[in-house]
Amino acid sequence: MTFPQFGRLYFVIVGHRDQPLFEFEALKHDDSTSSIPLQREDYRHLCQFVVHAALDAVEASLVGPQGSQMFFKNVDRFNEWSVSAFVTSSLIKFVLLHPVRDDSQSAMRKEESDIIRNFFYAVYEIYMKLALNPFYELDSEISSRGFREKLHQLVKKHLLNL
Amino acid sequence: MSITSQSVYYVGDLKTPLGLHSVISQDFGPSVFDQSLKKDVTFWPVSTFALLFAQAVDYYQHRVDTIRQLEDKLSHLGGQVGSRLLDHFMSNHQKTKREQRILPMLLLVKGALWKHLFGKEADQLEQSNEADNTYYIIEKDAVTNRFISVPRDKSSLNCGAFLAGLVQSFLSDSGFACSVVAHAHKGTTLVVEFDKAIVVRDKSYDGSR
Amino acid sequence: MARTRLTPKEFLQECFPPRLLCLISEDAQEVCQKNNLDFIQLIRPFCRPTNDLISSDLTNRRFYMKNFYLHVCSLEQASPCNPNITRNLFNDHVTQCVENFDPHHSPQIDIALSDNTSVAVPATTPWYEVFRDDYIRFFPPYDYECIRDLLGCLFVVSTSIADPVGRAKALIEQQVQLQANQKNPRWLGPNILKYFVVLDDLSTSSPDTKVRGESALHYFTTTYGETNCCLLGINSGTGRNIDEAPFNPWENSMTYSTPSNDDMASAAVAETLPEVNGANEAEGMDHPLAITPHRTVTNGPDAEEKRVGMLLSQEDGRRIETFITDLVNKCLVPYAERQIKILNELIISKKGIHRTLVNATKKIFGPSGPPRPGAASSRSSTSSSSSSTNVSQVVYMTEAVEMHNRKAGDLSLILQLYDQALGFYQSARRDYSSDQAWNYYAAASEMCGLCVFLSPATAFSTVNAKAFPLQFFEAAIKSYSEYGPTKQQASQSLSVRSTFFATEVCKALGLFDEAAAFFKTHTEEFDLLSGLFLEQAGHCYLKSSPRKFSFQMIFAGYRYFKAAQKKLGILAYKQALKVFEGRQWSIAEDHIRMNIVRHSMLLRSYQEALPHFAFLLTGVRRQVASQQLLILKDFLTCRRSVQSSPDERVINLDIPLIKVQKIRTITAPANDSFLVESVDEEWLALEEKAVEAKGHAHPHFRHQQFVFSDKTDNRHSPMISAGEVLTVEIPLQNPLGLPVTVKAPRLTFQPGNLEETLVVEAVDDVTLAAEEETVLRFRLTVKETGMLKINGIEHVVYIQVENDTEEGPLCINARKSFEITGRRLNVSKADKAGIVYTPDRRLDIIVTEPRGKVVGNWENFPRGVLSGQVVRLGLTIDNQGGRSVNHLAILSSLPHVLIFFNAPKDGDILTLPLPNGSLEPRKKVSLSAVFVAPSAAGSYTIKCLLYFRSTPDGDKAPKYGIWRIQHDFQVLPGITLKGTIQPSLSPSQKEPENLITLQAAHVNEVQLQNISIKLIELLSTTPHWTISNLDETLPPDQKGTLISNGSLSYGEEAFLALLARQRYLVEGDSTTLSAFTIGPELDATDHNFIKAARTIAAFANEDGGRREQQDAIRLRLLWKVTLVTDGKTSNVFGIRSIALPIFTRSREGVEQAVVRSPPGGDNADGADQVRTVPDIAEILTKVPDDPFVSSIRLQSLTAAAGVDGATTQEAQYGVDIISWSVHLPEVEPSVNDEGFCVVSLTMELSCRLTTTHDSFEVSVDLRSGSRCFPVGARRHQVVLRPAESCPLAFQYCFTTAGTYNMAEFVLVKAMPVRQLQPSTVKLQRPANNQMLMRIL
Repeated sequence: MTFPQFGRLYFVIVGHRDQPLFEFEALKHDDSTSSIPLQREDYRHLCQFVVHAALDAVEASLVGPQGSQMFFKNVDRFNEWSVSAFVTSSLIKFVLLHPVRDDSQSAMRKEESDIIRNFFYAVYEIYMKLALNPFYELDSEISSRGFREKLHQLVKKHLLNL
Repeated sequence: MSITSQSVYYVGDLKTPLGLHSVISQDFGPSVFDQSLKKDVTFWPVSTFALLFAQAVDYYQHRVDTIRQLEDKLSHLGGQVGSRLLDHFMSNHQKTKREQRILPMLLLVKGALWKHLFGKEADQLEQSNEADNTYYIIEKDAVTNRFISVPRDKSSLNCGAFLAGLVQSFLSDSGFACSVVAHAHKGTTLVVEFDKAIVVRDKSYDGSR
Repeated sequence: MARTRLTPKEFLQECFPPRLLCLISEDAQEVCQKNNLDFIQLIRPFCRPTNDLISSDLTNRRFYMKNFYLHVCSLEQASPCNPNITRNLFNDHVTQCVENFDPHHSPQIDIALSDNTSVAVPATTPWYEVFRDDYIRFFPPYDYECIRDLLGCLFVVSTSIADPVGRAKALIEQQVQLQANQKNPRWLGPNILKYFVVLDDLSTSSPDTKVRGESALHYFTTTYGETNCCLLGINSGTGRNIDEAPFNPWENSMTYSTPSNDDMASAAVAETLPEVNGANEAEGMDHPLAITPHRTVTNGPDAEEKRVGMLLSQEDGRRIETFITDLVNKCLVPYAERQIKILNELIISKKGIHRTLVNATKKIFGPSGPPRPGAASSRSSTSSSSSSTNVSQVVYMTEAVEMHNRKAGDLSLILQLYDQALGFYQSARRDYSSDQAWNYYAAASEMCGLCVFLSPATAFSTVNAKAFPLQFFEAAIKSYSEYGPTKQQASQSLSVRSTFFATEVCKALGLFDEAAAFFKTHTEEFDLLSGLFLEQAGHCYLKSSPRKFSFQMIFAGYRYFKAAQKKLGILAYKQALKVFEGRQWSIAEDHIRMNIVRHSMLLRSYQEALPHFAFLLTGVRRQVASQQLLILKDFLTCRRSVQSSPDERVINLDIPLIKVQKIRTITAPANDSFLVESVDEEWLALEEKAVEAKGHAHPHFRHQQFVFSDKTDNRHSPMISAGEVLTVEIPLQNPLGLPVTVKAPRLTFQPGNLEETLVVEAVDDVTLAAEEETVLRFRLTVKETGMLKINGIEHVVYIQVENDTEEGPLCINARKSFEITGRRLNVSKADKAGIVYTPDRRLDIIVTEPRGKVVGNWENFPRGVLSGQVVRLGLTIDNQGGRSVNHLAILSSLPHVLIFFNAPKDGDILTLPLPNGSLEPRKKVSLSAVFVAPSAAGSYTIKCLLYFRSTPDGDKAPKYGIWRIQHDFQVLPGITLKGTIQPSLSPSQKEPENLITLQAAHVNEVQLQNISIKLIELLSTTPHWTISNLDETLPPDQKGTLISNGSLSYGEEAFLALLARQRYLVEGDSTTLSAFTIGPELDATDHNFIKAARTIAAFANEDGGRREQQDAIRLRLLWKVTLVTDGKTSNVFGIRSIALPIFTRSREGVEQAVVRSPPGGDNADGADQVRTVPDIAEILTKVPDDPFVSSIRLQSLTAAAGVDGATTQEAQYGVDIISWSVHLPEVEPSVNDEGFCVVSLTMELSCRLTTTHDSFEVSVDLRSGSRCFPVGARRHQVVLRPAESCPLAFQYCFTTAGTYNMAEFVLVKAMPVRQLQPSTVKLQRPANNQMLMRIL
């Protein structure tokens, strides 16, 4: 299988039946704009595979000693990818796929986890707003443009230097 | 596609057909997502609730054949409230922790949740003597029953089903799979029956601590 | 980990059986061959002795050996074989095993998924076991271990030849040769056990053979000891009765034995000619299935057709059995025990450590434990850093004491003396690690692990004890992978073997995650192996974490595909799919399904692939165009191959996507007022009105519906009469990223009586670009009456394949059947309680008797008119139906603007006259009408409903038909008309008089800015009043036109003062009309129009009279505009009218009223209905279709130019050109007792300009206010030269006391005389805007 390059982010909100409610991918733009669809084609299914497999690890950590907390850093990892997760009170899972830093950048690690945590809490904020909207059926696919737009801003705000 | 200072990101969602770039339009007015979530609890006159609830009951009873169905509908309605409330409520009261144990969770429901909803705590919380997975939340004067006059032919109807549904989805969605039924006994008694698995899980925490 | 045939213990015990070489003389072979068996096959079934075997360790403790078996192998099998061959061999066996594997009839295991659902996956992976067993069976010998060395050798001779002993000697010689020149690694021990078998063929036994046998046996016993030989008699059975003899253990053993044998044969061959196996390897890598045919041929038939062991009888079997048991019990075991003793002696003698060795076994489980493998390996790693190169090359001589340890260990392991073996291994291990002979160390640790696990003494209690044997394996694998032979050196790595062991142990201990970890360490091995391992790893996760399982399966499948094990790959992917299915991980699911499809296509198992297309094709949007194309191609080939009957040639395909719910049925010819789903209320109101007027309105009245779509209520079928055209619109969308052409689309019908008489217009092919949408329009005509049901569409889909030469475009015969669900019902309680949908009948068309069908259209209905303009229209009526229309009526949303000729009127409904009473089919008539535009400017929509009936009223066809015509037009401002009326107050009069002041203004500054409106006539048709010009009372010199040249240019106003006198009608004098012309000169068309207008007005009164109050006087002003459109002139006529209430003299006579014609007041206009205006047709000039949009636009342009001109003029003149002032009388006049006073005023006009030479024409207009009006001429004109001034005298009549600002009433305009453009007028206000005059 082809493996992703660095600078690729993939964010999913996973519902109660393991189904993705919302998917969002951000991919660092190398010079050749034309190659982007291809890159997506190569990796998008892999993204889903990795996240889906990581769900097991997430649930495992839920019953673990740290289970009562919401943010789980690096629950799972796949090649250069690391998976961080956030589980809401309603057991909706936010999963973020982000490149692993090699040890040379280990200085970054601490702040990296902060970055991700902040991002997750920001997303949680808007998710709560969404959930309060009676026209959104809970645990169903999120198609709100406003939500997507907002999330786009959050990604730009928090994650671009990840 | 969004141009940022340090790097160019392709941004899209996997739902869009491959090869087509999902361009996010910037022409949004202020959406609900720009408003901030209210932390403080706003109090509504109980009459307002009574009116709305009465309307709901009235609406549903034209759409069901049996009392059972009517109660199901009410409980489903309550369920909507419960599960939508969950995240927001928790983030206000529980801060950044998720509750794992049964008892604290029930106390939260009896206490904070009831306060949040009705401005007062529920009257009692009891555990059943025979079944370790069964608890009773007792509310003497449930606002759902206060203003509903049940006709004689529908005497078995208990609008507490609304509360039952609320509590059930509140608990189940937060990982305590259970079934809640409302009984007319000491006012309104919500019988909370957890799945065996949940109780086992709870016990396991005892082991670990 | 998947379930296996053997339990871990069994497996591990069987891994290392005692191995014996077997050298057979040809004659002995022949004896066996009588049964189609060679010697080894002959004895194999008995190599697992059933009666218990006993071994004893150094301390003479005795152990029963459980499931012990003897591995007897021929020379070829014994000698190490070529790695490539084994590699292919593994592949073949696995393939074979997969072929025989049937997932449906294999045990299943349920995985519980997160949402309480569970899926079943096969619990067994037999191919893994096959591979594992092969891997261990054909494991090459290594220096580090001697456990797989041959313990001994069987020499088999027969009595069928003269000198068996001699032959045996020859065989011994051969064995010695082998032992002498075997190259490292060695596989034949130094002084091995020798055992002699003398075969006696009982079928051909004769006294001398017996003798030979005896003598031979005697010779062997004497030379080698009596335990080391036996005389074995076989073939006692008779070939005939073998059939009923149930005893035949060979059959089943054949299948298992055969492959290995000729594998070895091929292996031997391969060894002899290396280049062959090179080639073999090459192709083996390419198509590993290449050898399979050859395999199946040799394997399948041989096993079946050759009957086996026909000469062997029960007692033969028993003899062989005893022979084996004796061999083991009396010979092999004692030999081994002896060896162990000897070795132990040697070891003790060499270093006096036997005590430690003995209690080493105890120490293992003591608190201190053995030297930690972790520590050991750590040391190894440190040393490796220093001198890993030479360290890994430590090689021990066979005599080396460490090897003695090892050997002793191996022997005791073979004898299942695990504790003892462990002891030896431990010490060996210690020595090795101290010598840093890491490969030996690893091998020893591996064995330690094995022994610890197998030893009966070990009881695993706590967790770390569980993990205990694993530590050995970990150490082993670690140092193997660090120092072991690399892939170049060895085809099969020891680490893989110990992984097998380790995982088995894990499985036994239920440590599945550890097992998975072990499996995952070998991803860099060759594809088949790592595929298998990944799969096993997946099975490890099965219980705990199903999602990981599916992920592992994906990887496994991926490696399988790379190893060209397609079937396995597909199997793996399918199991992964089970976890993913229906959870909207669409991309991943696509990926899985696409792989399954692709490879099952390669395997030509189309049935396998087919079910997956449904998902892939419906989700095509997710894939790139190239993928979409591939999928489609595969799909087609699939279809072609599986399709059995020709009607399957058409595929129920969703490409292009057909939006069935959005299909529209239209029962009326295309006309934009029909093709609206939601007809607006106005139409329905009109229809209702018409219907009840015609008096067949019944309680369940339904409006006629012409469009049936998802927005309409389709509970009732569309009705269409035979012979009419029905339109069916089918919206399409192309979901693909590449252009799709739909060819020869045709509707399909439910079989009935109608299809053959049906005529469908051919619809030509449409090509949809990527993601494009379009609509297919079918127009069909039915001849017969009845019910027509459209149930689907068939078409051919062409998809152009770019850069693809060998095949043309994809061509699919597609079909889509229509199932439409109606709207959800929400009326009855049942509807609300449940979810009920209406039946949707929009495609079940009822064809009724032919009817008349009227299609009407306007002729030259202008889009733009002036307010009050009168236009002549034509209405063409076309009967497109099959019957003649015999009744036609029209009903319009603006009732008063249309005038039809001799059309009997009832309410707002006009029954239109048809020539000789009815309109035949396919006939046209054109009716003419008059349209009088509303007076209020703005944009209007007039809706006209044609209501018609035809003969005869069809069966269940509706009684009537309707046709809608909608027309939008713009009313532009023309002239406005205001008026005041007051009782005349002249003292002299007897009969009441009224003074009327009219004020007409030209207000259209856009289109008519520089076109003047000509006023023609003012007429009134009030019965009791006549009007006359007020000027009649004036002195004769002021007689004449009211307005200079009777025409108004833009911005101008005309004032008319009239006198209305009451008239006393003489009997018989019916004329009510009184009028007078305004314009000075009138031409013929004017006169015609006047006539027409008079008749209109006349009828208007007769009809409208009763509506209006008696004492109102209605005045109509006729006007005309002459347009010049590119050269030729055309006239536009119009009527403006106003109604004024009349005052009969009353006490407070000063009371008076003002009525303005209100905007909606056009009903008061000439629009009043008229019976007939016979000659209006030729009176009215045929206006071009819409004069004010086409022609006048030009004019307005020039007008705009003119305006510019004006501004320049003003700029040139700077300040006010003319100054003027009104001289007010000194004495303030007062109203006389008759309620009015006439004041005569003079005004001074003076021209300020002194510089220029051109003179100015100054016109003074006197306006009338509500309480005052000028007496006499309303307009005075003087010419002023620069710096000239002149006085002007005029009179005003005031009706009430008060203060008046004369500046409001006097209006002065000036224009240069030599100006061509009349438009450049400049209006002047007096310098001081106040000229107040008080009337007392």
